[in-house]
Amino acid sequence: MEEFNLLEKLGKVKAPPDFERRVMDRLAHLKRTKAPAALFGLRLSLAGALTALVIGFLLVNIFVLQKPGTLADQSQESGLDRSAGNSGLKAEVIRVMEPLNYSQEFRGLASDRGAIYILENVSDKTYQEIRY
Amino acid sequence: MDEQELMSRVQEGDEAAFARIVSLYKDRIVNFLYQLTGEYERAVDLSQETFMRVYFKADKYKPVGAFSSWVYTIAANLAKTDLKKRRRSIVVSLEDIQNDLQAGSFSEDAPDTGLARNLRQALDRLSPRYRLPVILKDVEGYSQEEIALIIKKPVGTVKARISRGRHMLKRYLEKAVSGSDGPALAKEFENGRV
Repeated sequence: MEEFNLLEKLGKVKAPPDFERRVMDRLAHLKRTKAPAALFGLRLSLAGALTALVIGFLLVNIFVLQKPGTLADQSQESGLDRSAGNSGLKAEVIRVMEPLNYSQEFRGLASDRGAIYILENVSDKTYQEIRY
Repeated sequence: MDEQELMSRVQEGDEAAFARIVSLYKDRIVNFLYQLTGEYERAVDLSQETFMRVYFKADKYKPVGAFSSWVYTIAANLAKTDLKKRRRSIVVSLEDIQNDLQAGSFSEDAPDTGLARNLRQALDRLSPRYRLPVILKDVEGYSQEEIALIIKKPVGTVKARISRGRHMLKRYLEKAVSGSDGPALAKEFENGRV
């Protein structure tokens, strides 16, 4: 059976004589324009990456690191007030600095023989700020 | 130096190797795109774009198949996109195509016969889905396996499209027989070539 060959009658065309020159001109033009475009794209993506990084850092800081904890969490963190640990109440921890002078406490009781003093050496200084 | 070696050089940015590839393929690609689009100037523009892609996408080329298949794949994809765009925009009259063919193209033989005009018209009426495999088979002479590689479809699909495309082409031409170019086509039918 003979092949379908009618389309051969369409006639062939050739590229125009200056085709190669036009292609090479276009290539040179595209090379000139594509390089700055690629550089611009690179800069844009770098800027985008940096912006994303900053936004990510801010979000982590706002929503994760500075999350308001419960009283129990904060007590555990500070190592104080363990008895109130299970209350689950949200509260701020107020650090109180109270100056105490023990020299006045002991002076009046020195003559009492039945008194037992358990002294804890907090500091060499007699005047000490105690943190509760 | 064969095409694979030339392409390796193009991948390294060798413009002389690229110019050699252009020189080797320009007529084939222009003719292929002309048969697909039916417009010479458009075919030349698309051919230029094809070669630009060959250069800038050279790193994507893998020497697993024939180099020509890769170039034809690029050209065919560009033509398909172009045909889709054109289908949405304007319809060019056959007279314009013929005038364009006479005035601007560099034909190897004289295609301006009634038969050629009818063939052109029939091809233009054929959907790109069928036109592409039919042209690759009957104009460019590729095998069905190579066409499957170019249009990225299974061989069975290619066979079906070629068969259906030829059938539709035949129907369009049969209708044209009743027109002014009847005798020329009737002769072809008598010879059993259509």
